[in-house]
Amino acid sequence: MRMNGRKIGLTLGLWLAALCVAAGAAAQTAPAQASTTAPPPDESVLGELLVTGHKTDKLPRIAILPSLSADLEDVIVRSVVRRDIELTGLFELISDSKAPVGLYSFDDPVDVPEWQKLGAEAIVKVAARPKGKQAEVSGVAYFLNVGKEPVYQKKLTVDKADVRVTAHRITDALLGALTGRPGGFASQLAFAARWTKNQRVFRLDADGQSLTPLTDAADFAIAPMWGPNGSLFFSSSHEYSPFGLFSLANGSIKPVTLPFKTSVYGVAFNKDYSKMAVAVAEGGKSTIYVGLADGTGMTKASTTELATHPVFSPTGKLAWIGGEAAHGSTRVYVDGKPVSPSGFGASAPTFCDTEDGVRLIYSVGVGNDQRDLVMSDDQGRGTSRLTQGQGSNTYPACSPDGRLLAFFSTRKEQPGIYMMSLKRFTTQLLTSKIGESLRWAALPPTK
Amino acid sequence: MASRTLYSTGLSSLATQDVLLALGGAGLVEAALFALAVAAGASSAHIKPHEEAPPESIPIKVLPVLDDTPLLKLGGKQKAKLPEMWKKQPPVQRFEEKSAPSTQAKKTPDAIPTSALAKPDASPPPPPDAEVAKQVDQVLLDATPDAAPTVEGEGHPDGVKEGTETDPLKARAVSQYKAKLIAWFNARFTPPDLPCEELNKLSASVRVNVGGDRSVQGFTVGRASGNADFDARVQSTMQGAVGAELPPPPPLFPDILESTLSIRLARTEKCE
Repeated sequence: MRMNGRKIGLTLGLWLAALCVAAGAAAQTAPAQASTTAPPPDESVLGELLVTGHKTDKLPRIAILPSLSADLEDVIVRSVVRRDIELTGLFELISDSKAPVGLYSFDDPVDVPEWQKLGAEAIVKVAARPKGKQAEVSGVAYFLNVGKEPVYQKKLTVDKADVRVTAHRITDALLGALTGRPGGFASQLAFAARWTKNQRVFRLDADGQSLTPLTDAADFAIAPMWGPNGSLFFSSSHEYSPFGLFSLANGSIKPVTLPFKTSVYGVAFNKDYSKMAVAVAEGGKSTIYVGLADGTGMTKASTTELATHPVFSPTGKLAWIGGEAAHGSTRVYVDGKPVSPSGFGASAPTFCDTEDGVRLIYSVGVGNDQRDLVMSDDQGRGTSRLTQGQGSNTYPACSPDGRLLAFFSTRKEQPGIYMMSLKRFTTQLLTSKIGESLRWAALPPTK
Repeated sequence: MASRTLYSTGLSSLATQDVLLALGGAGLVEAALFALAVAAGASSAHIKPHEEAPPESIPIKVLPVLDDTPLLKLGGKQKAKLPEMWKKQPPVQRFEEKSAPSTQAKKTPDAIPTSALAKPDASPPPPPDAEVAKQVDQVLLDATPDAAPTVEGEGHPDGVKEGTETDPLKARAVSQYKAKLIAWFNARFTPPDLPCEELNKLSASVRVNVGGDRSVQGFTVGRASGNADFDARVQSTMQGAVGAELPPPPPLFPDILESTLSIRLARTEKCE
């Protein structure tokens, strides 16, 4: 039976209302203690918090100092850092056109009073200075309430060809200084996409650059997943053979030995890459096994007839898409319990370690062959929609710092990979490539 | 008919040698064409089938440079300990060279001392191994090798009187996390509908107990406002927060969130 949009909306609303009632009831019955005993004086780091009930969210204003350098490396670094910081949605960036008149060479002092008049709380200065075949990439942060001396600076000397990725590393370090949580732009995305009659796995920089196919055009590759030290795992079939698990590291593809002779539909690793979960075909159904990262010690972990798309949370919980063979509807299961609403076909769960805690994000069918992204906590509570009425939105993937969400979307008649700030919920097109099984992971650290 | 006649007439007019020569020439031309075709096939001029270029791996070579120490590091809770080699050493006591009468002096002109004669006083004589100088202007002070170092001040000159944190990075992280917690509680608290002037006089202090999983375990009202409506709203707000999970502290400063939080619920907006 096909549900129309109105009925779906009503059912989802009822489900959310039921959740709210349940949450409220739980809060009412919680073992709270209320008394009027005078508390000891507060000597904590945070001090006393003044709660007024005033719901405002003011973004801190910061500036990225203009640069007068004509060096290509300097232009690249500054543009990359500025775009990265814009993408986070964490700050209100002061426009270059409002910059006070003055000198903007790297060694020139910062005109603190003039920037304070513009409301800047912090200032970021980045530069890349060529030194032969290399470039010295610097990032400096000033807090204007502290003074004109920098509070943080990072400097990396790299080959000129690596200036772009180094700019992302500088952004990550500067975000760490500005917020206490390092950024996640020194990272890469992987996904599977059609290639003539087959499907290949591609990689992409976090800013949409350097799209590169990684698997053989003669094979049908699916379900990529980043592994330890920047390696990539994926399932692949050659000439209609069962899907086997392969790993790509240092440019060479090798099969991964597993105790299964049937198709492997997907793979996942936990946070420290000590555990591996695989979705395996079994008697016309599929099962998820968990074992050691080398493929040994596999034991059955799923509790549903059909189980695919395994993924670990940062805290070690295992989620998958589960369903029954007799029914078409699928739900997200976390540690064996369904956490997505029943009646809505759920797919592609992922966990985000956001600034507000761990969140579970997945896509649900909303009728007319459209899918939308929803977010909840890792137990399915507090579900909210991230997309609505803007094409079909699928395969969410979270940035390593939990601030951004990438996903495929067919919105605005401009399909592609979009990036959403989980702080501001603004969306930007990253690249026009469409595919499936989007994954996002940090680049290996520099040696 | 006419053409056949002409053909037969022409063919018969050719000598056998001419026919053989023509056949040989034709054979040579054919052989040359065949050789050219073979040569063209073996050369690089032939059209190759289009093959897709294999993906190129992009090696990343990064030469690390150690981060410079954050430049602004004034103040701190712990006093810096200077290296031993930097400690101030007590000055060496030197004595001015002076002569004194002696019964053991030789009675020769060379033995007459060149330095001034010491004034007789009650001061003790210098030790035998004392360092001697022609002239001493040195004013000796007490040696203070363990005096507190002055390289680190009490705090930052741009800090605030109430400030306790001397690391500006941590101070900013604390400030931002505090704002995040305030927003978290603000989202749950709505003051009661009371006259503005009256509402602005009301406030309640609450101490919140936080579990290891960042969940609100319970709360204690330290000071109630005295207004039944306001205090009821405070109670319902805090009851609703019990069990909920507070936002995590920034990963670089995970110890910011402690086991208790002090909050004050009040309305501070101006009345129109």
